[in-house]
Amino acid sequence: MKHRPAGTASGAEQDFRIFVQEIAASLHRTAYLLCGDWYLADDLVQEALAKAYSHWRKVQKAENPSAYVRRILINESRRSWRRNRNVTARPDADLTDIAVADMSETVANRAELLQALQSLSARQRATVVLRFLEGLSERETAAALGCSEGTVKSQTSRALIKLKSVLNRGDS
Amino acid sequence: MSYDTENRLSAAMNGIVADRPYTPDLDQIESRGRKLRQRRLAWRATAGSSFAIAAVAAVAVAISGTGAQAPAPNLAGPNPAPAGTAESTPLVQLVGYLTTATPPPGDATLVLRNQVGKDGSKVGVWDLNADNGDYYFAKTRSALRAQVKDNKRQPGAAARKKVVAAAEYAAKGDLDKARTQMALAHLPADAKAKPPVLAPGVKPSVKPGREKGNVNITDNWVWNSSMDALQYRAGSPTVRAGVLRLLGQMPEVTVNKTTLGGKPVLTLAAGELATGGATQTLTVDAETGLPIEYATDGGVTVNYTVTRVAIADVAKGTF
Repeated sequence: MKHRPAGTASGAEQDFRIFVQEIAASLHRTAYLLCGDWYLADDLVQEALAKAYSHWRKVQKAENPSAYVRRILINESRRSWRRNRNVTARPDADLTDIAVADMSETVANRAELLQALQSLSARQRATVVLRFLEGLSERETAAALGCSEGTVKSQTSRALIKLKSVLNRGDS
Repeated sequence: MSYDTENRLSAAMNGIVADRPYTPDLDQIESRGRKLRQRRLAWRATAGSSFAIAAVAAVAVAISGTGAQAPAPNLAGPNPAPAGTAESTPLVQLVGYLTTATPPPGDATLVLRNQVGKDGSKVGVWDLNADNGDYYFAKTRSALRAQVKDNKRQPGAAARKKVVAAAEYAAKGDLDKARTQMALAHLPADAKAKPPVLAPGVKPSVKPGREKGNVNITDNWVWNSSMDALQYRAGSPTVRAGVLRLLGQMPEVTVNKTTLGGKPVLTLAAGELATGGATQTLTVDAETGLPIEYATDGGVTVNYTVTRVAIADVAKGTF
């Protein structure tokens, strides 16, 4: 009978917990901007991390474990988005009236920006959030989305044009 | 947008999410992760057990062979599948068996389709689909021999190959990819744009000024093309497994285990979301997955008799 080396399991579990502590807040922010709902964001992050836990060895072996898990999260949010595509974004009540001080006049408040984000396609939204919220490079974003850098560039460009047009339309 | 605007967008996004603390519930995450892992292992275990059964059956056939051709092995039911885990459904167990079943002899699937109309009228036709994609059709068994002998193949081989390939891929590959493959199997090669592929069971969105169409177009294509795949290659356990996996992915397809003529069967009933109209029900043998009946509520019922044959035998009239 084979015996597992002492401490292996708990070591992996410990590694997972450290990983979660490092990445959870960032995943949560990303999830919220992807879905526009804090409660749904909680669920998305929980599910993505649970999936990461169930494949922990694979995640650890990945070239970029954070990108791997971010990809799980984005896939989860796409599934959720497809399931709830008739449900419009539900910006929290406490956000609707809070102006964002350092944004251009085109973005009057958080709710508008949130709604503008929801008007993007799932892929464009994910690209914008990873690039401008998480500050990932084009290469890192491509890794997280499982696409080429060229696709990230084009998706970003289209997303920004659309965001601008949606926000300007709100002003008129 | 300028670089400056991008910076502002970045700042605005950070502003939106800055004041929301989040603490992951690690116990819950790990508990859910363990469940997901167990579910995956249970799936493998079911497939493994079924593989063992298939292997034993293959050995038994080899040992007891007397020189006479045995009935096509895929048409014989396996021993009852093991109960497996609590999460194993009859569909999962059947797929597990089929994905490891030994390919049957012969190089073509022969299907006798007996169609019963709403008014009670009956029509029987013969479909002979060779594994290489050739398709022969006739209204009688003897006419089918003539069709093969005269090499009168029906057109449409490319589309047939595509749906069969999608079903084969679905048996063991990535189910979402297989779904896309199956849904778009009939898309013309020169199509200007690829239609979007919806997730299984997603209800269509309502567009302003348009009536709500209660059909998930992707599910509809997958359902119809899966029926085609069964008709073209029902003799292949892999194709049957793939089709059942694809149908099992759609929440509006309800699966029930029951009996038909004293035989255990599974019924897969697709609702309006997949059919766009009346409920359509596919009945398959619970032990082999072979299609037995296809019925539309208030419409026609088609009964299938599926066998494996050799094209050369059909040409000789010895099938």
